[in-house]
Amino acid sequence: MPIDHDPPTAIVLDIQRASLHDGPGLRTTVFLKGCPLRCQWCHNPESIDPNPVTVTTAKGEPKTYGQRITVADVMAIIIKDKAFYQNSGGGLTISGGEPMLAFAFTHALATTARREGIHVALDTTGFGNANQWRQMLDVVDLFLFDYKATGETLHRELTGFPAAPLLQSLRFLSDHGANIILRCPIIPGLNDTTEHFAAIRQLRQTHAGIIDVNLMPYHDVARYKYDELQQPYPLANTSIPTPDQIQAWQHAITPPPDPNA
Amino acid sequence: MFSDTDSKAQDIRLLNLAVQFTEAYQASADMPKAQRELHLIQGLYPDLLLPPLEDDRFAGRALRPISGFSNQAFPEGDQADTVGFFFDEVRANRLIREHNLHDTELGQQIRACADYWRSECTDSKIVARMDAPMHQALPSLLFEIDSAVSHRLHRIASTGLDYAYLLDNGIPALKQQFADQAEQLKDSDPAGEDFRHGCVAFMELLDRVLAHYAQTLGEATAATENLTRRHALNTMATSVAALRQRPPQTFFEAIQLVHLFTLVGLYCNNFGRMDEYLGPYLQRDLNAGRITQEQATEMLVAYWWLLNEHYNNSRMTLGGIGRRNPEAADTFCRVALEATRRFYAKHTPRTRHMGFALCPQVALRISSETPADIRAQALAVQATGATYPLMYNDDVNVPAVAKAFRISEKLAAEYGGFDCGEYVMDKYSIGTPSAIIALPKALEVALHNGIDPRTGKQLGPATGNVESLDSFDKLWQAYDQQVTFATEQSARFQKLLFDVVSEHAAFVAMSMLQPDSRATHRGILEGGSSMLGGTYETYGNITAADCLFAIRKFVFEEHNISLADLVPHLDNNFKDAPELKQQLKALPKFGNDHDEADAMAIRVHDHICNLTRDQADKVGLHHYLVVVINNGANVILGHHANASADARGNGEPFSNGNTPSSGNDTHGLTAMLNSIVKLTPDTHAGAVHNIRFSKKTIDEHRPMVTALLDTYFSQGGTQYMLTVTSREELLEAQAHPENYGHLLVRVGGFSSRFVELPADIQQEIINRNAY
Repeated sequence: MPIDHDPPTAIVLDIQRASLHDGPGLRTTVFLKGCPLRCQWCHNPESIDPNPVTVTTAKGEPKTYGQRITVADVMAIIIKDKAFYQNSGGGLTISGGEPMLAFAFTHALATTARREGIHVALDTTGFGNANQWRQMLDVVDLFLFDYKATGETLHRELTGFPAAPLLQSLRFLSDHGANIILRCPIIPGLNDTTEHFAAIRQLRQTHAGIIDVNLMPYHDVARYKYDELQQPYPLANTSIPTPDQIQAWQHAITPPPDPNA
Repeated sequence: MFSDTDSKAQDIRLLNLAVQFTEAYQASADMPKAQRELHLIQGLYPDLLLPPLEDDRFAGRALRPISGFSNQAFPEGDQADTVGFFFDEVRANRLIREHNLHDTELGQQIRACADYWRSECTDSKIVARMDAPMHQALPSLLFEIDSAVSHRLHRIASTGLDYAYLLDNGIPALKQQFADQAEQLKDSDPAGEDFRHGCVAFMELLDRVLAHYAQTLGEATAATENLTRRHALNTMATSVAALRQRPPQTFFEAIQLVHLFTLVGLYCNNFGRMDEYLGPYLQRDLNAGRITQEQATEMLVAYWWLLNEHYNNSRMTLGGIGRRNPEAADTFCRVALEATRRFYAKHTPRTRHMGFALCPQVALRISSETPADIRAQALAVQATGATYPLMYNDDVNVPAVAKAFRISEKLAAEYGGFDCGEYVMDKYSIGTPSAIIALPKALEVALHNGIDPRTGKQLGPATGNVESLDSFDKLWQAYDQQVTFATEQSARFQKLLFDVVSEHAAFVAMSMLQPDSRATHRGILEGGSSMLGGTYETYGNITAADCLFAIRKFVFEEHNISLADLVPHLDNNFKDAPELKQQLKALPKFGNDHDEADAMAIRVHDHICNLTRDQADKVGLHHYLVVVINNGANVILGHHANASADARGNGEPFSNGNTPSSGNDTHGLTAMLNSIVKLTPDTHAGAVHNIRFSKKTIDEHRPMVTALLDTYFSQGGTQYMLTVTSREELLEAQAHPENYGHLLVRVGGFSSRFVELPADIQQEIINRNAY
């Protein structure tokens, strides 16, 4: 059977309804499996492998992460909360992993949701080419765009992936009218540097599409997932930031008030 | 309704009163019943009355009698509620023992009283008239102790009263009015004569109570040096004196009259649409500058305290369509919501019956007419963890109530959630529960040919050995037969209870506050109420649905195991089959917006609701309807059932109201709410839904919480109660109860301090998902 005629499918890790944390309003967040990055602090290590993964939980029970489903299957769930989206300014968020890895699925899902009048957000590392972004611009209302480390070397070290193509994506989206919220995980000892905060401020000033910046302070609740996956937890010695620290970070990424304003 | 006491003199006074009451009862057998009822109640006053306590702002406290008359009395210990004339033998014996009175004359008299009442109390007369099917279906009153599918309740609760009539007229005018009627109608309506004389006698009793307080409070005022307290006592003294002469004129006097009428006249915990009848007094006082909003709020805080002290689960309904003076009523709503916030922030109300009561329970009806600030205020009060107000959705409920009760929408607009949550039409209807049913227990019995596997008793019809239930349809038929048997007998029992109680009592005080009774001069049980009906409390509906779904899918569709092989695993709590339990646990459950699983819940819901509704005409009641409530009974009834096919363990709680079983709602709150609204509201008398938010969510995402709840209502949601807490908080509270006295937790229709709950109920709350 020609591949083109198959309905797009993807390995879906999870579908979270009534989510308050993945964009505005009440949202349904669809997490897809597969990610090209290897961030040291990854909170969803079970999402990295593009295929379903079966692990043994702390209770000794088997548990499988990931299930192949179609756009129609996902839409059937998303559509059920339409009234909640409308009353709260919410919608659909496609997240991952990196949803652009499953571009055909992600694009088809966003297109279908848009057709239903549902607000679509895409949570992305920025992995994708201009042709793909051009198509996504037509069907995505809001990009939740990660910015993780400043400097090519450090970015590669912390995420296992070059920074340049991701920044190119950011530039492209911003220049083509996208609404972008920059999402910045801040990990004590790894990227809580003056240079990084300055870069965030600068990105804000040089990318008209960035409407907001969200700091995402490090936490270690995902630690148990590494045990399940029988992987060492990379940040075993990293401390959880204090509220004062977080406030200082927040201050550091906020541009000084415009003297001419 | 009455305060306990430890003092020996008071105890002896109470024992003597019980003897006097018994003697008066014996001597008055020939009196017409309404007059006899009042004659007997009058004998208890003013002896039962107590002076106000130090912080009381209103007069009216009383001792709880050992022997007396009530529509719902709560005797001591493990005894169940009673109705009509009662004698609390357990309590009497305790007092005799504690004060070493065995060999005294009083001790002998009390023993004689106990012997007499064992067959003479109204409860015994009801039981004596039950036939064999009723006994089989409803073997016990003690659902906390005895295993059964269905348990009966002896009470006449949930009665809507017209307090506005009392306040509009006042005592002198009502007394005159009833006396005039007695004179004018004695020839044309001799059948109503007893009732009219009873009304006059009740007004005389109320006047005597006012006179008692006018005198004793006057004396107390004179003897008090503290100026603030002196002022408070003087306000009470002058108010009760004024109420002997005229109708109430102020907010304070109106509350005082409502309180004393209720204290003396009846055990009533349903204060109905309080904003309707108290709002105009409050508004007038505010407009005239007689009191400030702050003073009014503190008055209500003090009144809430008295309600908590005197009534088991007192409750009131605020807001909604159909109020005569919505502006004044809304003024009352605002003050009442603030009083509620302050009350639950300040007091640790005593825990009583079943360990869950916190009162008053404040419900708020929401409609398109509700001012936005009241809606926001309600959520702000809930966000403090007060758990009140409970929220009701008029847009859905008024038409649903009209259909379920077969009444006009105008009358349906009087609905309120009474007692444990059952709808009652304010001023007009009686909707007391007569029995409770545990649907998962009915299924368990169906799987054992009508026999309770816990006790070996034949609780229902023999509907076939498990081997014979070789298709889902056959299993459903067996379940249907078990539920039908219990439901039919419960409805018959409801009618019997009304009939028997009516032979002995008129419930004059309650009746005079129902317009229909007043118009016909008949007690509410003898044709006075045009809406004399009942309710059937159902528990574990969702557990039963999840079990039936699991059996259909796992046994009959996928053929993983035979039903005959499954049942022994349930009976031994999956001891040898942990994998089986996991497989059952993994099946879809209600509460996740899963169409198939939810369809079974709809089937179970429709079945029990329609079956119950259809009993009314058969037994001769205005209505007989399911109420899907929760007051902790889901936990207690769960103790009496073996493990079930939804992977619930032996003795574990059943589902709660119409919400998913603990931990089974795994797809988020929108999915849960979507599931809930699939269950039709127009065939029952109310269903309760618990929604929990963490403190963090409700504080940091208030607009989202608002949008979520608003959408739930706009999608057809009928009701919710909101608990604010976090799992961490609860675990910490279990470990260190001393630090968490403030932690309020909603347990279905009731509420309590978390730390005061039994460990298994604490665990149940922790297991429920917090959003």
